[in-house]
Amino acid sequence: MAGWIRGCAMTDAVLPRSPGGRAWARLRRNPTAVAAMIVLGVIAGLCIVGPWVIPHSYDAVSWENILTAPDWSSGHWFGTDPNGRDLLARTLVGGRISLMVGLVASLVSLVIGVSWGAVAGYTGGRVDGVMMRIVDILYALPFMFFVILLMVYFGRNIVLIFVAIGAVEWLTMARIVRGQTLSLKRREFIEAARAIGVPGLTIVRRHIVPNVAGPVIVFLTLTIPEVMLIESFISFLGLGVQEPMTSWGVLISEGAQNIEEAPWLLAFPGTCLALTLLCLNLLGDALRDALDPRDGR
Amino acid sequence: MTSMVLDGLTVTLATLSGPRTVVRQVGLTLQAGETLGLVGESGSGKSLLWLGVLGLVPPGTVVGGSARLGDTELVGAGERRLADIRGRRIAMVFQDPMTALNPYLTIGRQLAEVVERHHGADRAAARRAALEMLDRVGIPDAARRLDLHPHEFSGGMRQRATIAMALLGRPEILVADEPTTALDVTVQAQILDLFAELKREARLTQVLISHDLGVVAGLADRVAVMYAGRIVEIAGVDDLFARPLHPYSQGLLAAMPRVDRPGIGQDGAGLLATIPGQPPDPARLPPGCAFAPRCPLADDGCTQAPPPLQGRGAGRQVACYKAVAP
Amino acid sequence: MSRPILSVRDLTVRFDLRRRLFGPERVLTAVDGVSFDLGAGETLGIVGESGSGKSTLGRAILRLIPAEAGQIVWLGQDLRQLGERAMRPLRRDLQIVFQDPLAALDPRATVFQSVAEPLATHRPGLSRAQMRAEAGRWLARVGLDDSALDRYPHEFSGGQCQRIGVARAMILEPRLIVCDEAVSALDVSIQAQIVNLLAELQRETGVALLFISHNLSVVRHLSHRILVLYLGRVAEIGPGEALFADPCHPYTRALLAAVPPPDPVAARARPRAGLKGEPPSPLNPPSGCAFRTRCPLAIEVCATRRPPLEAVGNGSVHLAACHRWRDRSTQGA
Repeated sequence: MAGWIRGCAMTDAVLPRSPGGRAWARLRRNPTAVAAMIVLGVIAGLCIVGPWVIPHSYDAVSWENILTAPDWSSGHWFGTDPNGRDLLARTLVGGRISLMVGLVASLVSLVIGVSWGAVAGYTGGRVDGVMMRIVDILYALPFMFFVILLMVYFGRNIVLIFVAIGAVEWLTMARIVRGQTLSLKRREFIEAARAIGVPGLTIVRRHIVPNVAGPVIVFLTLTIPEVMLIESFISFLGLGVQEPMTSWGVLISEGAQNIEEAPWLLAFPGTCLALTLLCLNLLGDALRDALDPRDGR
Repeated sequence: MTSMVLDGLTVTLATLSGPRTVVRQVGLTLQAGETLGLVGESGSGKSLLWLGVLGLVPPGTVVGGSARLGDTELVGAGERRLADIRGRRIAMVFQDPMTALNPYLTIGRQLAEVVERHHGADRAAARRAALEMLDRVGIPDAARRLDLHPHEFSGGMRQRATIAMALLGRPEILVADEPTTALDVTVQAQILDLFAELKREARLTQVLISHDLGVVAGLADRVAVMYAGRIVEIAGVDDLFARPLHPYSQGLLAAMPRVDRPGIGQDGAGLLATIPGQPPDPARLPPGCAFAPRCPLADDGCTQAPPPLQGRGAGRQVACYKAVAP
Repeated sequence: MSRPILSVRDLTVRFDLRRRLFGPERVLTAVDGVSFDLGAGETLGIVGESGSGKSTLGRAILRLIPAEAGQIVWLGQDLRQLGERAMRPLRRDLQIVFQDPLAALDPRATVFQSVAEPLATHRPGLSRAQMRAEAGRWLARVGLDDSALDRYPHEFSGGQCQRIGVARAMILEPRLIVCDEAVSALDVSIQAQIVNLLAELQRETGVALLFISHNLSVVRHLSHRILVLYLGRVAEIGPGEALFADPCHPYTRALLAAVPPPDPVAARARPRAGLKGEPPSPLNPPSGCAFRTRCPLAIEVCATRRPPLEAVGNGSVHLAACHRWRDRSTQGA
């Protein structure tokens, strides 16, 4: 029957009061999370600003300098590729693309997935059934087949990559959000909103979506790595970005082909990708803890 | 004959925001065969007091002071020692029977385990003892029910089963923490009757922890009232209810609506007498008496130091600078 | 009473608990043919134990869960005939306060947002400043400071959260509030504060209360009339004082006898022979009278014929559903 509520008395004036603020404070206390955020920040910063600062450009072909090893004096800190282009510049520019794809595609999947899942979960009944069956069917379609078809039909187009990837990733997001919505639906504050007479869609927007933010954000930080890997794979297959533009996936592909003569071609972009993915995963774990404290503080 | 003596008992929890002392300097003497009622609201420390004594606290918790059961000192005793004492010399019954019952084992198995562990009996003897005890606690058709799982029992029967489990260890003391709070009122009455029987026939020493003064009134010989981790009043049950001395005890009794008294009339007469404010946060207690901010009698003298428990006549102690008879 | 504001007739709520798609039918009748009236400014206490259906009844009346049969006549209109859209404007007058004060508030919304949500829904023309003023006024009325407006629910204690819930329920000055175990999760001293608050608000605004609780003492204290439910059916209904002075249904008598009084002398004098067994499962109610399996007065007819609600006193204000209510003093309990 009735449980006993231990009064959740006043918290410290020092702690920020909003749930978001408290989560952020908890995150900042986690050294791994802080380190991951710093590293990510550095990588992103370098990728954005770097190409304008460093001496060489990413597409400057130079036949004298093909496949040179990393060398401080010449300014080719990462060495050069088979076309004599500076690998550092290419890595940074490629990073821009990879990170952008990761971010944008994830956001696309976020918007579609959250809307779909929240509406399905809240509406329930037959509508929910139909909406989730659509998700199930799409899930079953072989993704690569679909992407390749798109690529073949529309040509290699950066925007298309965003769309294609986002269009696939939203499925898992929708499932997660629907699950969260189902459990939220039973909570008294949702019943309270219904009793007040708040229309269904408004309840979803005002009460459900902000309260699924936690798992959604966590999933987002774990989606971005997945998206980047997908992009890398597409590029590895030769279906990704067009030359001379590059991405980490393209670089890794090229690097793998030249692994014997010029291991640095694989090592540097590969390390960058791996490091980014590691940081995102660590951040995701830390976010999960920060957003779901056990002791109710 | 004294059964158990607590002296200066303190329990400090380790929380994210630092240590929190939830039980402060509690001292009391439990006489063999008596039923002590322990009353308090959230944050009073009434449950944590006993969980601390038995070592059933989260890691990092510090228990200080002394808790002597006969010749054995419990505070600071290692986990192995405490595990021997738990169930065997002091048994505890909780609000939710499912905290004590394993959903995967049959009731008979779990009860028998207690006998096997604490009395070294063999399987057959243990099963017989379990059967007898289920019968003793009033579970009908006990022989058949031995082989059922907890979820096949109703709420009241589950609680009886946990009481049976507690009794099988043949403890010297039975501590019941809100044993009937989660039960329907008619089932609660049955369980309370069971406790009364145990008291009469087995002469068991019992500690009955409850927020419900009614539960305590019918069963306890003595009642201790706790507030913010301290005992603020101990008295014989008749004395406490007839003439509570501590303002908190008085307030608590006045705030309870009574089923045998008329309610609010159409004109709003008969509002309940309330204690203003709310129970304090153990992390931020005022210096001096913890009840002072809510107390109608408080003055400056109450804010210096917490009042000690002082004798006020036969078997009665009050921790208040201002206590006068109502 | 003069014309009641709420008239519930034969309300029935069923849940289909079938395990498999084509499995055997398992129907749980949570509320079974309940009827009662509620007058303006009145408090009707609804008591019962587990399986009584009292919470389901409260929610069904507010159309938060669908009822299978019966009528819910609110101010002359049968709510069961109305779709959700038609219900919406009526919800201004029909509010609810929940059992778990913290869970009833959106953890991500400020107190202002929670308390003002009814205003935003039903009086959208108000400016933000006006809404803040209203919200502040009601918070003050329930004993909370203005500064609470921009804080979050987790910063408050259980009792304070319940006050916020009451402020939210009252802000549109409804005619009826369903209190679903509204004080059950609170400490005794806080419970008293909230009970007083509800009584005062009723006196000032004339709001009617449907006070659902398993705690008989609180119900007696607050209610003008009382409805006793057992397994979804009305066992007894009548004016508070009459019902407690002379309960006619054996279940009501047993319930009253079972409450332990906070008085050692009275507690020791209480007869021991209480009710045996536990409430049966609502999935499988006994035939005839649902209470007969535990009733000390049960006879043959109790198993074959479900007892109708009969008047047990002068007039028709006090009713009990028992074949043998006239023999009640032989109960011995």
